[in-house]
Amino acid sequence: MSIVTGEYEAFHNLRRKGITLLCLALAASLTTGIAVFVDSAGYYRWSEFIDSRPVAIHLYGIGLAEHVTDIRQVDHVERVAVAYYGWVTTYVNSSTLHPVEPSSVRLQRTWLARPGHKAQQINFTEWHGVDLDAMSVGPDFYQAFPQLFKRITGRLPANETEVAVSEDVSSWLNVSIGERVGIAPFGTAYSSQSSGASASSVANDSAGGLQADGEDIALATIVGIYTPVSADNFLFAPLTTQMIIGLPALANHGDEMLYIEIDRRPLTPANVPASLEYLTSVETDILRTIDPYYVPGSSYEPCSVDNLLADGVIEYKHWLDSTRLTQVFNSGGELLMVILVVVMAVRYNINDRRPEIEVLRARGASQRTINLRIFKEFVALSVLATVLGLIGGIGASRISMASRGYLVVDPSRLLTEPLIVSIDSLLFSIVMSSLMLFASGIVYQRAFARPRRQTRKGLVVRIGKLLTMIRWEFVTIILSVLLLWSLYSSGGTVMASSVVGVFARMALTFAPLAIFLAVGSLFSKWLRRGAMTFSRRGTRVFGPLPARVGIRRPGRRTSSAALVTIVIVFAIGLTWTNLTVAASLPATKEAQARYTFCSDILFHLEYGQSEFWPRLMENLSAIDSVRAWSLSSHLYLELSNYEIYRFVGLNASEMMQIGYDYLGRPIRESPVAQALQQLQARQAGAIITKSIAETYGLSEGDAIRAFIRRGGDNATIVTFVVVGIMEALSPIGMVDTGTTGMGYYYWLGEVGYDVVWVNEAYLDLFFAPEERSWSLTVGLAPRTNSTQVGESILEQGGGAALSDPPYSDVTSEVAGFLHQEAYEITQSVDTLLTVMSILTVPVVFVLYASENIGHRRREIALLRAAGVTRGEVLKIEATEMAFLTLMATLLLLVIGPIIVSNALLTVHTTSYSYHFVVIPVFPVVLLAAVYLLFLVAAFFFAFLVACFSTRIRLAEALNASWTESGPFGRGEE
Amino acid sequence: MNGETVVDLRSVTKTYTMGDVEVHALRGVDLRVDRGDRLAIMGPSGSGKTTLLNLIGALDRPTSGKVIIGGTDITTLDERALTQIRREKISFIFQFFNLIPVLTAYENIEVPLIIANVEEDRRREIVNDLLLLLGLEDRADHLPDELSGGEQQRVAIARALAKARWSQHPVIILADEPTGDLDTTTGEEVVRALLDAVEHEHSTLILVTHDPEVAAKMDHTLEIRDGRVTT
Repeated sequence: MSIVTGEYEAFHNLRRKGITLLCLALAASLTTGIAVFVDSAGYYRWSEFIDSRPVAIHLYGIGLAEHVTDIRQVDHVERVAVAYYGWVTTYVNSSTLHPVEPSSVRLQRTWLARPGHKAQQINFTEWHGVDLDAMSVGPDFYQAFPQLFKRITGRLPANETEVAVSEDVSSWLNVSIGERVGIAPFGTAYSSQSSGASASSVANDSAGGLQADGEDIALATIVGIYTPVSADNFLFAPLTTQMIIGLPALANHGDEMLYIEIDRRPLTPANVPASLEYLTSVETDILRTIDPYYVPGSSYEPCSVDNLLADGVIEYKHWLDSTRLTQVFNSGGELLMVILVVVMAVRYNINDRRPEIEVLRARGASQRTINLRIFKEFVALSVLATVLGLIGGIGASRISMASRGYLVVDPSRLLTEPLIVSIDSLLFSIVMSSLMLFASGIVYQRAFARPRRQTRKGLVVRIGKLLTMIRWEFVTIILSVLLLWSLYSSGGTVMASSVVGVFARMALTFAPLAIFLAVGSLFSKWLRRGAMTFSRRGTRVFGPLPARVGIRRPGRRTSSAALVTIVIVFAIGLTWTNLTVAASLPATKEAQARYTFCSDILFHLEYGQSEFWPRLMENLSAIDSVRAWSLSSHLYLELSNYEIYRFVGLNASEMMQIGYDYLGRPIRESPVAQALQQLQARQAGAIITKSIAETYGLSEGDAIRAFIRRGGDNATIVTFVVVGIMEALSPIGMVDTGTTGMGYYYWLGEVGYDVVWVNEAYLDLFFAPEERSWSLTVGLAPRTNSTQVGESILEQGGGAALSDPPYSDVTSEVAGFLHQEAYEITQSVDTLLTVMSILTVPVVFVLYASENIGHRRREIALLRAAGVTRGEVLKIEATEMAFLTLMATLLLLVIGPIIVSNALLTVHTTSYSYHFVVIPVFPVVLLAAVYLLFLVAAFFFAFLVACFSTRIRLAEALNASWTESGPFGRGEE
Repeated sequence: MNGETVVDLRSVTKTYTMGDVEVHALRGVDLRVDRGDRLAIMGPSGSGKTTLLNLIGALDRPTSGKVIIGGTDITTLDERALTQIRREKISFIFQFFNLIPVLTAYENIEVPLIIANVEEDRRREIVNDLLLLLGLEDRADHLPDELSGGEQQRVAIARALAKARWSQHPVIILADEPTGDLDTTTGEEVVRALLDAVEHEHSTLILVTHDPEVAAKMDHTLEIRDGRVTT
């Protein structure tokens, strides 16, 4: 026989179940929101990974052409075309070279040059063989895959006497449409692999053909110039081809390849595993056409296969998984906050059900039956909460999708942005929610559950007892602080390590949370003990009744006030962190850029084109927003044997108006200005950085001798006098600030730590202009878009005077940083987390009110029965909230700076090393608004309770109290 | 009954609606209690004893009839005026859950005096007197959950009497089964303390009880059954 009826089970205490459901759903919503957002944001990445691949499957092998017809019959295969691929020695004559025009200097660089390095143009003086990778295809190929060749000038070749070359080859070899080239595929005579021809032996014959050692070399006419699709998409390697020849040119000398396009409609980012399965099954069907005995998964394959779409799907999945995990990892604070909310819910449930449990026990229910009943209800609530959380999370993800930056939500995007809910995400959310519930159970067990009576004796038990005397909070705080201190003081060495770095980053994320929990635990104990003292001291301020009842309520053993305060402080702290980081990152990047370029925009001058410099400056002066500019140069000199330092020559007075110091401040407002004045006053002066001063034991007034080797025993030696020592000096001339994915160079060094600033005029005395690299630093009016200035200069032909890249500027550095995909995703997730954190505040207030509603109602009824007015009840409630607010504020003052500063110290804005990690910017108004929101929520809660208190039916409330458990305050945790 | 009438109930009915069912808790009760009277109300569970006490204590309103307390018809009063009546003229002692859990015994007794804005020195004097009267002087700083059931009830009695000590008006002490949750010996002690204190303060006592021995110690006994006064 059942102890209680099913109806009782389902509908008893709807308020408790509703609130528990809300808390559990919050946990599921958070992880689902993040996971679904990453899925939805992945829609655009899916396009990059999938749509940008022009061919689905690429086969390579022997005898493939004969299977084309069969493969076309395979299900889902839409198009198949054959191509032959191979190296071709291509003979070009110098007579075909175009005259070089100085103004087109930038165009003369070839793709062979490493970015940032000047390329060498090849000038042939005779017929010369160059090896090009080429493919031979026919018109059916162009028809099947027209998208593989873009920006075609002329046309694609129709037969083996015609070729098309890529834009790069055209530029490199200076060949154009209508010209003829000699063609010798590898494996034939006169290719560079054969021993037949050398460049000197190839020559024109009398008929206009090409001969080597009296033998003809096939000639082909260039009929088109194209851009291979892979020039924009490095994922598709086969189409980096440099030359296309009409069939059957390579049919007997090249490798056979099949390009296959399939029906892409079954591919969807919503179900990555199914997409992958589809691609694999099509690949298997194709391979079985070639070899019916082919077994998928075996090491044998009838030909070499590039399942390009499958590769794309796998890469997409890796991106998706890592992004999802990264964002959940970054949300550690919020996850912990939600765990604490769930702990509150668990505690509330257990306390609220205690009378019911006692009744069941009194009616003969065994502990197992009771536990099973509680467990069943919690599981049922968890399942329902997970479903609600998934729905809520999908809704919450829209906030992230609609955001255009941190807390910048465009409502019109709420419904227009793609929504993708993958099976993976749902599973991920369910697993994460379960883990959070599990973690909550452990936290509750550790923090609140009654300890079992210890009956065993022995050494281990004694040691255990001894250990309980050590406050875990202090141990945690000390260890965490030591860990953080060691990580911060390691100067990035630990973080740079691939293995230890992972743990270090985890420590940086979780150590502050551990400190927070320990401080929170101490706070809750202190609150319990301190409430009595506070109430006595608060009598004068609040009056005797409000002080005694209102202030002592949170201090009761049964009260969740401390937990509520901790959660609220956490919510505010995390929101403050997000706000501060969001404000500080752009400011940091701006400071980095200003310091690195020592100006608002830095033009990288090409000394070989110095005759165009005056024109550039003329154009600059025509732009209203340009305040000033200054020419500077740099070169590397040795201070001791092979200890090379960067010497920057500049005009001190001009730089004072334009430059920025090592913290991104205008030089005129920084200590650097004074040093520059000294430099201006002394021609041989030098401002050095602190690291140089420390290395050589230099101080102001000391002389330094710098030199450059001139071959043999010769050297140019220059003597400078130190007029200033600075923490760091802009190196002036760097092209970027090392934003991830942006840097051209693999520069991992320190920016401006080993730099010497000297007078430009003084350098002129010793070094020729061509020995130095030149830059033009430009100061702009405040709030000017420096990128627009740079582009404007280029449009006016300024490129002729500039190297590659032509300029570096603050606006584009900041914009490039802000528009990084990872940054944008993080900002969107932070928006979601902030909204969730703010929503948590009313949720915990509701939980707090509900948890104590029986006690509160009875207390109010007792007071009202004694003659207390409604106004006085309001005052008692307000006092309670004021006390909680005060406690929360105190805790916030302790914990807030720790969370915020740790977050600021762990931001990653550059792969370079700057003198500062971050420029902290505190959006005071927003920070205050968040705090104000909390105050409003607290007092709204007090007001609400007071309003409800007037509706309490006193007789009912006082007479119903028998339903509560035991004497007041007993039997609860 | 004799002297000044402090409680006057005229044809009082109270009907509760529970779903579709109407429960008649009181069916035309007439009752007069004079100042200084000690009245016991007896009757089986559900007979309407507590409802009657709630109406006298201005915790609830009758469905019909009049409830006159100290000459004031409270039936028509608004919430503010009812609060005033409770503040000045009524004291409660409940069976359990009687005390405010966050306040010490001393502070619980002090509550009605604080509400009445009695000066601190006077409050201290009254509370200490009452603690002494009820033998609680060494339990003054204890919280309710640190007190035994009997001690809690004695604190509740002291709190009820505190109002009588200070009030200019005759105070009616309403006790709803004050010994119901106590063992016999403790119950007897509490009743003795209550009666002594009531006599000492010249207060009116209306006490609901199931115990005939307790009722026997009162001046009058009222039997109530099915919402009607039978004796």
